[in-house]
Amino acid sequence: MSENEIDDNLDLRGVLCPINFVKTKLKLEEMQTGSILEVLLDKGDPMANVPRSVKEEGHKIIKVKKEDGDFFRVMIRKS
Amino acid sequence: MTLPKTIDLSAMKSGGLIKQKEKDFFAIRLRTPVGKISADHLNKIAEVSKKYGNGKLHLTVRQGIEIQGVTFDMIQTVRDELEEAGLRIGACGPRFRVATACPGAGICPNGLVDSAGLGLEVDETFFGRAEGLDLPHKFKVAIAGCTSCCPKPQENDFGYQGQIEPELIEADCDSCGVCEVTCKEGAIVMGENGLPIRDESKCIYCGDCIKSCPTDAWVSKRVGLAAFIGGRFGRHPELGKKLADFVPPEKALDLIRSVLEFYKKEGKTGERLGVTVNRIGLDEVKRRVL
Ligand code: HEM
Ligand code: SF4
Ligand code: SF4
Ligand code: SF4
Repeated sequence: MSENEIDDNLDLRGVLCPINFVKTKLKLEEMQTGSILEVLLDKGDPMANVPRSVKEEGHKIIKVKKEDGDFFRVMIRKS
Repeated sequence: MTLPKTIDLSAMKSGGLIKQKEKDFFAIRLRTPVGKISADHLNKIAEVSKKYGNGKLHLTVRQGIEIQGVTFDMIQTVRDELEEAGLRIGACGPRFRVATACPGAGICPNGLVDSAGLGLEVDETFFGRAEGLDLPHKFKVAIAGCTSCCPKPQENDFGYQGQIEPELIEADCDSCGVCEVTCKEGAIVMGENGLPIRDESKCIYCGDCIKSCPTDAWVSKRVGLAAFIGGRFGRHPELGKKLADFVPPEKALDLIRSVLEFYKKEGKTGERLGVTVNRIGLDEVKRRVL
């Protein structure tokens, strides 16, 4: 997926649970259905919890990419 | 002290009355299985406490409630009033105690099984005399909805804990690696073909991989109950030992019954189940009860 398909992004590196999820949720709420949000999440607790909670809220995780420096790039399609 | 005429002594024997240090005062232990209680019942308890007690309640470590400061002559009245409202009295002594459980799958995002629902069934079936078995000593059960074990099933004579076995649908995996970083046990590593490999010997059946996989490539193969036996606290604490994995929920009561029958037969009076199990050996216990 190329960068320009992303409609919005959040850098949540260094943001702890559950604030990272709450920020993701609030951002998704103000976005249009079908648009794509990219979030950057640290490995460990944030990666273990945020994708799962986003999934439980009914959104679709369309891509996850591991980046150097112990963080992940996660793309979420709002439903 | 004179006995009030109306008091039902046989009802007293079933327990739930705790003599306080203060002369003639009793605390009344209520039966509130899995710590679940309606607001109306709480109001009723508050009312009874103000009317017949000293306005103070004790929340017990096993999700119970005790009404303190009831004088001896009022016990029967309190019982009657509580029973009229649908509230029941708990147990003390060598009895099957009120079952404890966490809220489980219906409420908790981590829940794998309906621990609260199962706890209520267990309590309804065995509370008190354990279907007439009359056990050698007290018997406590706790049921946890998942591997976090919040209600401490391993600290009880018998405990259940929800568990789930993951299975990979390879075609649905897009090799993102989320499950590898999610598994706290280090049981998943990404293989050279881009598919996750699960090490069965490290897996504790928590289901975090299933919950976290963005494409639902990890699915549930089966859900069941891990059973622990012989745990206790008190003076000589010991954690319960693993008796079985993946007990089907519909067989949950049968296994408890089987353990109770074993305990009745082999347990010495005043001996907790854990001591019996240590004496006889876990392997033999498994052979007998499973
Ligand atoms: C979203 C995650 C969690 C939720 C919603 C949750 C919920 C609860 C609830 C409802 C209780 C009270 C249980 C009861 O007495 O009825 C509890 C207690 C407890 N939880 Fe959790 N829990 C979570 C995660 C965890 C984890 C991950 C652990 C351990 C690794 C844990 C360990 C405990 C322990 C030890 C207790 C007993 C505390 C006490 O005795 O006061 N919990 N939790
Ligand atoms: S044991 Fe699991 S299901 Fe039960 S309250 Fe704890 S985290 Fe939730
Ligand atoms: S069930 Fe839990 S322990 Fe087993 S592989 Fe999945 S995340 Fe790891
Ligand atoms: S999280 Fe799901 S999609 Fe990602 S590697 Fe694991 S099984 Fe595959």
